Amino acid sequence: MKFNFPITELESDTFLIQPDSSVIDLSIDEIAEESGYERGMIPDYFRDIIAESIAQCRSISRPVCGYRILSVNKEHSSPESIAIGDIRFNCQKIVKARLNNADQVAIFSCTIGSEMETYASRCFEEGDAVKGHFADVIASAAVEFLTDLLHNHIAESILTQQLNVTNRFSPGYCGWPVSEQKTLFSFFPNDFCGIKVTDSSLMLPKKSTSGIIGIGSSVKREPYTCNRCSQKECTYRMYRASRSGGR
Amino acid sequence: MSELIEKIGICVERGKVNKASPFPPDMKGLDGADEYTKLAIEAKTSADAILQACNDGMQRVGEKFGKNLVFVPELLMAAKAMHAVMAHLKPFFQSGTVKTKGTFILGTVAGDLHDIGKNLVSMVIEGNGWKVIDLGVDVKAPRFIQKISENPGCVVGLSALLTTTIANMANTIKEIKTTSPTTKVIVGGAPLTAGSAQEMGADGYARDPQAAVALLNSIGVS
Repeated sequence: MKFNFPITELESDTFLIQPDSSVIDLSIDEIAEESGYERGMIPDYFRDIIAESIAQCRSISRPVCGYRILSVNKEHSSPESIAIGDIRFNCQKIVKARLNNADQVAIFSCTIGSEMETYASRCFEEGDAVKGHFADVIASAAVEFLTDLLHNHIAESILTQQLNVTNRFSPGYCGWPVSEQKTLFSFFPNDFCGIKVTDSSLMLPKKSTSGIIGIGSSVKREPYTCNRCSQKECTYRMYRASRSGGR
Repeated sequence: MSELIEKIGICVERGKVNKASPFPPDMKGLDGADEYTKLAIEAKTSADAILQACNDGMQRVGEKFGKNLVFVPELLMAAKAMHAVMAHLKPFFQSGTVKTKGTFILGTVAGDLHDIGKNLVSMVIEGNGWKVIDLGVDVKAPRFIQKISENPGCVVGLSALLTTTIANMANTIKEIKTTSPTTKVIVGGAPLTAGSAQEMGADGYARDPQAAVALLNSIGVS
């Protein structure tokens, strides 16, 4: 799916996109699978709750995403880090190995806003924990879906220059310290996408993503190799598994 | 009477809250935990026996959860059915006729605002007969220590989802153990392992709500 929404260039090579929430396209089956159920095995009662929460997500979310294209400083990079100008990300070996041939990177962030997390919390407070649980799972899947769209958009926008993209990688995943979230956001204008980073590197709204995508003529997007990572309960791993049909 | 007790246990295990609840589908239209508990109390069934039936029901659904036969939603429905029972047993707790298993003080540590996992744990543990005091998110050590002093013999549960707040968790444990060395502290959250929990001085690590229940029941109260 493509972004059919206006893209604003805030400053040189920094773009902001505000799609309509109806762009979020999640299926009941994939949410069921993320919750542990084999395809078709979730009770109808839960299917109905998931359907209601997906509709709620499409109605109340406020998606915003953006990115900035930057050149890689290969001289300052190492087997475990990638440098942009004088700033070095200690992204560790798993991530760096996949960014090795990148000449540029797209640093990105996405959010669906705080509305779904408020909704989930309210469900818990009102004693409907099942609905609250599914609202939280759906919100996580929604922001990953939005990030998929942004990833595809970046890939398409550079195709005319004969360039490709890598997979995307985020602080907190694949061994990359989450504390580098702050460094990553230092490349964006203030309040970019309406996301704030706390002292403990938590993004607010919580249903937000950020990360880095390599760009170059000799890089490629590969199937995700989550089995190489030690984080078995990782949200992204579960999201990918639900989209590919296996863990 | 024993039939009613058995039905209460089954309703909790299957997450059948009340007659109006359409879940689970094969029990649609039948009485649930709410109705059977009311009948049991009217029949002078002891509150302890009702509570035990609930615990047995929660135990069974917990075992299924551990074997991936059911998932978080079923566990939450079971907890909800247990809550329906507890609403009827409240007067017995207030009069001291029956006692909770103990007090569990729960919170997400300083710097961390994640609450969904903690909320799940809170519901399931409360559903297992513990009094739960949920302090919320971004809870600093002095707040835990204050609540511990108000609830002697309690067990403390700390939650964290960020690797950056693990240090805060370790410091919280240290401060709790300094002021209250006998207080048991259990921890949970995505970045943790049993090994890291032990290293930071926790008395136990629970990877999911049911593991937390098993841990609490094994620790007991002082």
